[in-house]
Amino acid sequence: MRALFRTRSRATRPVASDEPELFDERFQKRLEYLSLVSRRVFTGRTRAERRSRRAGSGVEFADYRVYYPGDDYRQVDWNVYGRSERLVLRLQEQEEDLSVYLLLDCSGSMAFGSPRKLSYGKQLAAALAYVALNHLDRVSITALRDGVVQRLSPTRGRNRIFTVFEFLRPLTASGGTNLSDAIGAFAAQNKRRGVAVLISDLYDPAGFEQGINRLRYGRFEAHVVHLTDAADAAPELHGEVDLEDAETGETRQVTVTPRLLSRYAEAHAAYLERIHAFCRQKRVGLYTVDTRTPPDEAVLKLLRRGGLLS
Amino acid sequence: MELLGLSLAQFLGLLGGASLLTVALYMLRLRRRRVAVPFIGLWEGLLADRRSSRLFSRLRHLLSLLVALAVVALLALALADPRPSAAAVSARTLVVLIDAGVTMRASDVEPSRLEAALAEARELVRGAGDDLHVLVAQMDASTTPLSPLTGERHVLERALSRVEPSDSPTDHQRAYRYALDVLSGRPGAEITLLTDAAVAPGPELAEALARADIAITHVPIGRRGDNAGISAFAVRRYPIDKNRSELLVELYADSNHAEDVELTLLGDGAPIDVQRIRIEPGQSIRRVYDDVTGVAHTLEARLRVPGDHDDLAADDRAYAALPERRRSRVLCVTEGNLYLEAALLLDEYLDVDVVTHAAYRSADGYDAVIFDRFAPPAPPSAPALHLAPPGGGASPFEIQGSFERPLFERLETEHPVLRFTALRDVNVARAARVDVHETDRVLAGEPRGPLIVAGEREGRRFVALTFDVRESDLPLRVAWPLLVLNAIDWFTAAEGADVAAASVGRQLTIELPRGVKHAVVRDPAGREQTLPAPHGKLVLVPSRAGFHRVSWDGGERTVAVNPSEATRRDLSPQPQLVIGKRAAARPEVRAPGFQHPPWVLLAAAALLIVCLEWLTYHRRWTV
Repeated sequence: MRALFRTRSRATRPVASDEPELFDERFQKRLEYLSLVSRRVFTGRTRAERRSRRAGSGVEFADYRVYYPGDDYRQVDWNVYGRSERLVLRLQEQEEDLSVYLLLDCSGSMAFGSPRKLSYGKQLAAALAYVALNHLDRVSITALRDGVVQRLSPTRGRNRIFTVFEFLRPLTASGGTNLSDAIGAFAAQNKRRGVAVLISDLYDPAGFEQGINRLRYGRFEAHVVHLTDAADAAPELHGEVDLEDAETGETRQVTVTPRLLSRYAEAHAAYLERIHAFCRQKRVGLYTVDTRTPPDEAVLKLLRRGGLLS
Repeated sequence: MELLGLSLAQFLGLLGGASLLTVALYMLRLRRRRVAVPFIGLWEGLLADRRSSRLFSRLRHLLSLLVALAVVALLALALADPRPSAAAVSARTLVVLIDAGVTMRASDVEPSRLEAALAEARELVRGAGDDLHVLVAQMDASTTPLSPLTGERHVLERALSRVEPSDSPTDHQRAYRYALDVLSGRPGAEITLLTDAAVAPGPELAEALARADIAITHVPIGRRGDNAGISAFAVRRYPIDKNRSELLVELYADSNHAEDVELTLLGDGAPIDVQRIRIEPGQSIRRVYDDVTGVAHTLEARLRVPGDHDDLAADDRAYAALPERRRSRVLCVTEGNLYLEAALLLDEYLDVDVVTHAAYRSADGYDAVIFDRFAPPAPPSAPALHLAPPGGGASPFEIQGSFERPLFERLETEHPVLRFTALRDVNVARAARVDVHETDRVLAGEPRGPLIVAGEREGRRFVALTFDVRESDLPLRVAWPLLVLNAIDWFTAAEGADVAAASVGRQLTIELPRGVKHAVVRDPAGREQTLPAPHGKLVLVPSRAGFHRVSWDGGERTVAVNPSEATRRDLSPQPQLVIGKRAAARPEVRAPGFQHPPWVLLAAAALLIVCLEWLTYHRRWTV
């Protein structure tokens, strides 16, 4: 009988634009703290430098290569020629700026969660950008949905963090997800290779694998920050409901029972396992972050795990 | 089956309307809630199974609707209050008469006979139900129903809790008559007496009960009957000297042992005498205190019986109240009568003024006036004692002649005016022949004419002697001053020199001053009730022994009420009630039946279903 008189409501849907100020003074102070701590993390390494695998005009020996006509004579190792009468080039490691590409998923599914995944992703992107800028790296941010929505051109210098804030602040969660197309477009726009960090919930109807593969194929050093929310695995649903996909608008009639919820939890766990298996197999760095973890703490964990920005 | 709460049409209308509403609400319930999810792809695999369970889901919906309709039907039926039709029930009707008379206060069974009777009655009413309707009544001097004729046990138990011990004797015949009135024409009628007396109905009553096919059962109460108590307690003021009183106490013992009792007398609440008295088994002892002085209002006797040979405490106390004394103003209109003046001197509470016939103007301001051989020109404004009225004026009657040597053949010795007087051998020379009014009362006289007449004129009392006391030897006798003072007491409503107390259960009439319409009576337990006093008379049937305070506007009076004289009897319980030649059986004690009416069951069933539905809903079994 209680069910009989239960009140009805319209489709419950997260609101995308009700977030408070993300980059307030408190957040910036936490970034400062993050900056100090990240220095400690990188102690002993060459600060603000990253060696490229390309031979260049650096001072440190990298390798030898057989001379081909057209090569720069200045790089011929004449000592080797004297001993072996073979023309080989002495390759020096070329020191260059690291390009850090932050790819933020702004699709409709990122409007879910508490806090919302997009808000959390913005703070995470800002924090990573701050750390990168602090290391004098070149930072670019791209907002993705079913294509590239918006792009912050590569920039460097610590004071550019406010530009990053200005870029991130107006982004909203809406539309569908197509990581493959979006990352394909990103790769086409950015020829300079570097570290690409995809911040997303990986809810792509076409499959997340294709998008990540596009990064790999574009010779980016791919990393994935997978945002999860507790409600993703255990949604608070009961009774007769029409489920509506927040991105595609597709609906399904469901009678939610404890058993169905249990099976859904299993399906969600299997999906996570699929992501882990893929990234493990493709040697893509995967960082699964629960949105309940404070962003600065999450960034520190990412940095401690290594591989990203080091 | 019959519906008591609703008619059949109302019930069907209610059921139909509520069912339609339920179905409408259920249709609303089936509208689904739309919920947005971030990624429906995760649900796709799960929804494949849902299609196969759609039929089961529909069945669950149908079951849920049926449950709701069942709840609605149960509630509608509960409102209709269905009861088994009377014809379908083999009904039994029982009147439980609980003796609450004074002897039931005996403590030979713990804590008292009355409590033992109530315990037995509780066992009896426990079996009440649809097929056994019971009425609980208390019997003492009257019979008081405490419950309706009902099968509801809690009502009967509440009625039993209202039974109160009484100081009055039990009138079993009245209780039988009451039960006969209740049970006449009812099937399976039965009277159950819980009493220590086992008094059978009188022959006529027994025949009426038999004709009405009413069975009588009996539960004997009590174990033994040792008792010692006060059987009589009376006090009176001496007529000649009303400052002194005479007191009579009678004690008795109904036991197998000689009792050494202690009798304490209290005057106005303070002990004035304590005596140890030995009473032999079955004997009564009288004690007279012939010169009790210094007591203005109340006297009380208390008896203490050592050991456990007294099972009834109710008769261990007795009470008496002395009437209030107040000064009275008396006007004597006489040319000189030493006998009269001497008689008036005996009562120090009288203020006597003497005037001659010629000086008499009126009796205003006096409580009584005495006309000695004088007829006032106008009716006096106070009660009057006429001595040899000459006739004419405002004389109470006209003189028709005289007769010689009258004799006091007829005497109304019960009248207050003649109380304590001995007039039969008084010698009188002659008396006037008068015509008395119909309302007048001849207190003494002979066939030739009245000698002493009492009555009322113009709303005021009078007493007239048709002879001249100087022509008789009456003034030489003790009766003379008694007669005069009695008449004045009667005028001033201060009669009651004999102040024997009233008894519990007996009607008592208290005369109040003229004009008093209501009086408040406060019993010994402190309970007050306002009673009407038509014509200045308050009628009271006291149910408790002790001092009762009667108060009215401008006055108060104490009335003593003693335990009934019937208290003095053998307290031994009578184990058998014999009606005709057959002993009454003990009543059948039935096992407690289910007490609640069907609507309670229906409502409980509806509640149970709602609870189950609530439980299954929240466990997601039915959604």
